[in-house]
Amino acid sequence: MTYKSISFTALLLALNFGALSVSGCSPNDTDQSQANSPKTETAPIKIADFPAPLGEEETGISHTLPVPFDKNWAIIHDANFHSMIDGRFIVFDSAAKSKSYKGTMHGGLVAGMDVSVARNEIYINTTYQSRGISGERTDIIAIHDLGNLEKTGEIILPPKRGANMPFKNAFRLSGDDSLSFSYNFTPAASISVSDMNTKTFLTEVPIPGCTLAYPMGAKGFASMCGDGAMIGVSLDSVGNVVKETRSERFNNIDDNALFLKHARFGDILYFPTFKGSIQPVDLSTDTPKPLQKWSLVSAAEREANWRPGGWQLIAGDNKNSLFILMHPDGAEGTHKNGGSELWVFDVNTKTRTRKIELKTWGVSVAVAGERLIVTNAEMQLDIYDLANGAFSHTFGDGIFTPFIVYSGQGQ
Amino acid sequence: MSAFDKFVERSSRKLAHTTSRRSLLTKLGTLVAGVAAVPLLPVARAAAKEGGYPGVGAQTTGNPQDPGDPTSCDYWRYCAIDGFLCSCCGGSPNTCPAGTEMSPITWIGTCQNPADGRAYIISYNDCCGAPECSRCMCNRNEGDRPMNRPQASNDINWCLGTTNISYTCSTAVILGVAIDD
Repeated sequence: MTYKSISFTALLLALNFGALSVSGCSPNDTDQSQANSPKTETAPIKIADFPAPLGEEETGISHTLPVPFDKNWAIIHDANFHSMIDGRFIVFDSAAKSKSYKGTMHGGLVAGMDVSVARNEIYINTTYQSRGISGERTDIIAIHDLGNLEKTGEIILPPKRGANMPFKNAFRLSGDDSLSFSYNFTPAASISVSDMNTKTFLTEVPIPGCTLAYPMGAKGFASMCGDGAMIGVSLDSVGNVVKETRSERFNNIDDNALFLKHARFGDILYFPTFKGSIQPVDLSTDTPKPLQKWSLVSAAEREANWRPGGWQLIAGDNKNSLFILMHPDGAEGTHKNGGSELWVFDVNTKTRTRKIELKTWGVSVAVAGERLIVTNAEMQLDIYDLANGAFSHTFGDGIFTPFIVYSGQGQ
Repeated sequence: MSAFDKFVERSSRKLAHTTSRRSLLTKLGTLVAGVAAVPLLPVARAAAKEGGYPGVGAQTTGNPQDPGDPTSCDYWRYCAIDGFLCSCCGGSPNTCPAGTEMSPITWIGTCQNPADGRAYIISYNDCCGAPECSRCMCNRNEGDRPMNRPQASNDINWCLGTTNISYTCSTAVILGVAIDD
């Protein structure tokens, strides 16, 4: 063995731990090793089969990722509930059973996230404090390169971000990708608007009594309000409000509230309700327009109290199908329980097309390309085939509380 | 605590003593967006049914009119709590652990005391400023509503009026009976 054939890292390990193991070690070492290990059959070492050693390897290599991401790639938001200042976003390939973990980005404190495919950028809207859990607070939109996940810059925002559970609509890009909307709650509610081309904060739009931002048109957003209505806010390119509208009141928050999560097909957003209906809302104009509500459950299923539940409990594909987590024996307070089944509906015919019995109770659901991704009750990710609902595999280990999984395009 | 926060707290207590829950929430909502709670962990319900958490010793209030184990998710005051129980973290149902500060505003639930049968207004003030306790995660959602009704939403980290926004654990403070006898 020559000096050159021992890597620097291996030398360090040997110095630090005395654990460098090479052939030809002393009989005493061998005996000690056998004494501490269960007896296993190992193939005899045949150095003659490998007359040449492994070649030297380059150091300093980091992967880059192919962009745009493959349709089956997804971005996990692990909010890391037990240390919330240390959230992370993990890029993974939901179709691969090995080498599926592609990389990670820091998420700060319960962040929001979106992707601009046109600019090859990922945006993470989050909060930091200068001394970890204390010190000066700074709210930012971190900008990451889609191809290597490196942070390339940031936009400083007013330190007003809503501190709450993660919601996709706490941070969204506008319909034309030019603006971003960050939800604030101090408890005064507002939206911070930024120019994502020049990477500058523009203005703060008050949304008194309302919450979150649902992109509407090219540069506007809608927001869900406490009086049961939605407002529509249209902006110009520098964030000035050019029109503000308010829908009729259609959300019965006391008796059958709309979840704030939805599946979106074009300009129509499909919101589930606590007791098992779907409330479509049309955002194709500058005024949110509630459409006819329809039921997810039959009379018999209602009798058995089948209800929607979970965190990100609904997702949509690109073929007018929505997927929603359902549980039996629902009651007041079960709306975050998750579900044993995933029900599939065609939003055009308003009929159920399939039921998928989950391998493990589900809490959140996402669609990425040809895969369904279910955050299960063990906080790991079960991958199902989108086409037939068959369980494929579990993606886990090293993720802690993946409440939301986004598509690789940030949806 | 700012003068505004004190005003809100006093107003909450006064309203809580004299109004029904729904009326209280409606009025509070026009004052300010209430306060309290924290993120949920839906899977934590399992522990609630077991009556205790592994490695956490049982407690008692010592008061037969306040029955149950404050380190158990099924303790009567926790009917709408969402977070780590301060009783498991160096605090109690109505006090914060050393090194933390109680949020001055909070969200509110109504829970029935099984001993005296009365319905009590419970204020789920968060304790803020230390790391997440991470013990005794308890998520019960009776009466919880989405964030467009913030005063009834446990999806919000209510460490808003405190020195810093870091959430540690949740208390369940009795504000008074929901409806006077």
